[in-house]
Amino acid sequence: MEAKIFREIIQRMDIPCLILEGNVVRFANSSAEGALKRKLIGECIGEEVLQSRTPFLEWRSFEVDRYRIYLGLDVSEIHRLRGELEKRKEFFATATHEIRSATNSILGYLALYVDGEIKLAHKELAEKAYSAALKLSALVNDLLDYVRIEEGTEELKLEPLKVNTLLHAIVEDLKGYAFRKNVRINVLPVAEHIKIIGDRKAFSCVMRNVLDNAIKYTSIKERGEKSVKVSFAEGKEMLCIKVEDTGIGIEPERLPHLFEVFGSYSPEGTGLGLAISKKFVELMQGEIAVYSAGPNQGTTVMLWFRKAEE
Amino acid sequence: MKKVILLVEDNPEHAEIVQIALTKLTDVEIKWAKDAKEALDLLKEGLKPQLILLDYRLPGMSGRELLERLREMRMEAKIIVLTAEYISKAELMKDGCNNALLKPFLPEELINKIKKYLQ
Repeated sequence: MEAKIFREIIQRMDIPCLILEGNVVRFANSSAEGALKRKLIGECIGEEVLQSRTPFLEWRSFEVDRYRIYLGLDVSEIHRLRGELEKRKEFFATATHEIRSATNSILGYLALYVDGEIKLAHKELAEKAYSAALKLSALVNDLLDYVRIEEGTEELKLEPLKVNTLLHAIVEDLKGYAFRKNVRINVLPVAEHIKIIGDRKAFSCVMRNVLDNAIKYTSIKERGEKSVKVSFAEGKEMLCIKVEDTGIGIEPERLPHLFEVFGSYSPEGTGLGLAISKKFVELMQGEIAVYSAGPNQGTTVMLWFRKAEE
Repeated sequence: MKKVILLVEDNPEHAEIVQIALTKLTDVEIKWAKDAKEALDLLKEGLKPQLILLDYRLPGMSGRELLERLREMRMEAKIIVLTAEYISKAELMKDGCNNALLKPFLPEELINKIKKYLQ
């Protein structure tokens, strides 16, 4: 090929491209110059430079006549996808681990129950199998919810929602549970007419989740006051719902990971509740944050929702 | 003399199931460690188990690391891995255990496996 034409073609290529003539590597086009200058200092001479410190580029070389051509491939997308795949694999591994674990408890307790030789109170074994089955069922539901949201199949219908009515219905549902766990729930009044923009099912799921956690992690505290308080703060465009408990709190090092999938895992929970809640809140264009001063200092969850026009 | 089994398991339900199931075996004493550190402490204090039942996903040092450590220590005890990990039995055997049981399992399966190693 004519050297001149060849160079011209290369210069017009949009991907970073270098030419090696003898010992000298030249920028073949401006995108090569840009790609290398962004990451490299000094001249680019010889092949070593090409195994460069440019993490987003991978150089492939081939020969044409007396030239060696290097094509810089942008691999940032490949890196991103690889990371994504790693995350999925981990999710799958943890999900199957949790399902197998919960099933092991159910099967184990039931097998001991059926096996007459074991001298242990039958009722106790049945209760343990039952609570393990409840946990598995919660886990499976959370997993399905999470996957549906991730895939985008969970379609939300955003509409004005009456906070007062919805929240009271949820609290009413949870009162029995809280009473059995010796936890007092106190909901401060919010104006009857206040409406937020949200999806009825998603909002209920989030609030139920947050309140359920508050009750659960307060009930397992060994001593001291056991209560959950729900209060409201009204801004111009947003409504903040604050759920404060006097429970076991959270270690500071765990706080940044709470919203990750399985990041809030504990023997009491599935580790998916907060990840699901965050996704739902974001789909409703709101925000959610968790604060805790540390172990046994209680936990506060703040949720912000967009207010509907009155 | 009683034979000693060391159970390394962080899940209290799974530990309880194994402990109840093993009451069927006579002349067996079971020691429960909630993590690798507790297990190593017990061994340092002179515990000499014939058999170690080892969960893989443990807080802190993993069961796999502990298995490696025990092999380095030339621990004579047989080791059965009990795990809910997404892994095949063949892969587990490569890690150097004597046997493996994937969760969920029936208590009876565990007892049958254990009996082999206590004779």
